Amino acid sequence: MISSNLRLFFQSFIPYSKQGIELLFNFTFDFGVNIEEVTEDGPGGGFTGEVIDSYHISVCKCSSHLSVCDTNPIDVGETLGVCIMTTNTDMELVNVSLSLLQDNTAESMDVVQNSVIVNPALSELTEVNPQTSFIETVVPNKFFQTTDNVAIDGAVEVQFVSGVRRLVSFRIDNTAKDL
Amino acid sequence: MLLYSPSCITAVITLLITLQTTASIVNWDLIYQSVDSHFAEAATDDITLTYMIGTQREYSIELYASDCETSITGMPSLNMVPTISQDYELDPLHDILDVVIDVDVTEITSSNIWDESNDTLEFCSVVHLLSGVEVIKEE
Repeated sequence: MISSNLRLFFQSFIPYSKQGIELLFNFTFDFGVNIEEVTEDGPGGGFTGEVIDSYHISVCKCSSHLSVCDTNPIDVGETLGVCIMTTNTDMELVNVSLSLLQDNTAESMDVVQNSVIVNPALSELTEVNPQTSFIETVVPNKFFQTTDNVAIDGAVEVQFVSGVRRLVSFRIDNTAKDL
Repeated sequence: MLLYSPSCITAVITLLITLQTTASIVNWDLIYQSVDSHFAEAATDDITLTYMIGTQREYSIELYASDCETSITGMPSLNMVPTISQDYELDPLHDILDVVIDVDVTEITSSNIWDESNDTLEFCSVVHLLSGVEVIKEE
């Protein structure tokens, strides 16, 4: 039997115009989003301003749209569920993107791009409500040919009630795979 | 003039509470069921492997030696015919895949799937479910 476990992995920020979003990883399944003023754009530019406001977005492995996170291993061919959610009702999730990546083998699969499913036979996107999206996908056999990790890379655009949009990226690393 | 009937209102409410799902994942089940063998000189169905697979999935089948990597040699007449059958009233989610293998018994002992030490025929069947050319599931 081939199985694997999922855990969240560090993710850096993606600058957006004159503002940036810093993802604070706490080594569980959640991370915070701080909207900050920045003085430099681009990776490595860093944040030097003060926090304007803080929001919270969670991304985790889950088994249904009910947004209950779990750490259950997945078998080859089994569907993988990913929940993206926030409890802030003044923020909505839009334009979700998600890919599976395996660095050492260079295997990859685009699951969702801008909330459009790439292969409907393999994946499904459920917009549970404006604050919660559930992505379910079959993990193809090619990702289980080695014990190398599989990462889940993604991004979600968040839209605030005010109409302002921000881009948030995330990464989940799939480790402890047993062959 | 607009008319509102109870059925229209019900339909609207139902629509509003339905989750917005963009697609529906198809069934990728690939389940080995059985192997049946009855060797006979004139028979063409010496071995039958049976799998249960998701309805209308594309598939491929390959036969190897027992290590599941080495090609079978010494059996030039080896033939394999896959057939799909359905009983959607009984099981609408699955097709039955039968892989019928015709073995020339006169070639068995010269092949690399014959184990002389215990007089057994040992080979490996690999079935793939495909999405285009990509292997989604392997059994």
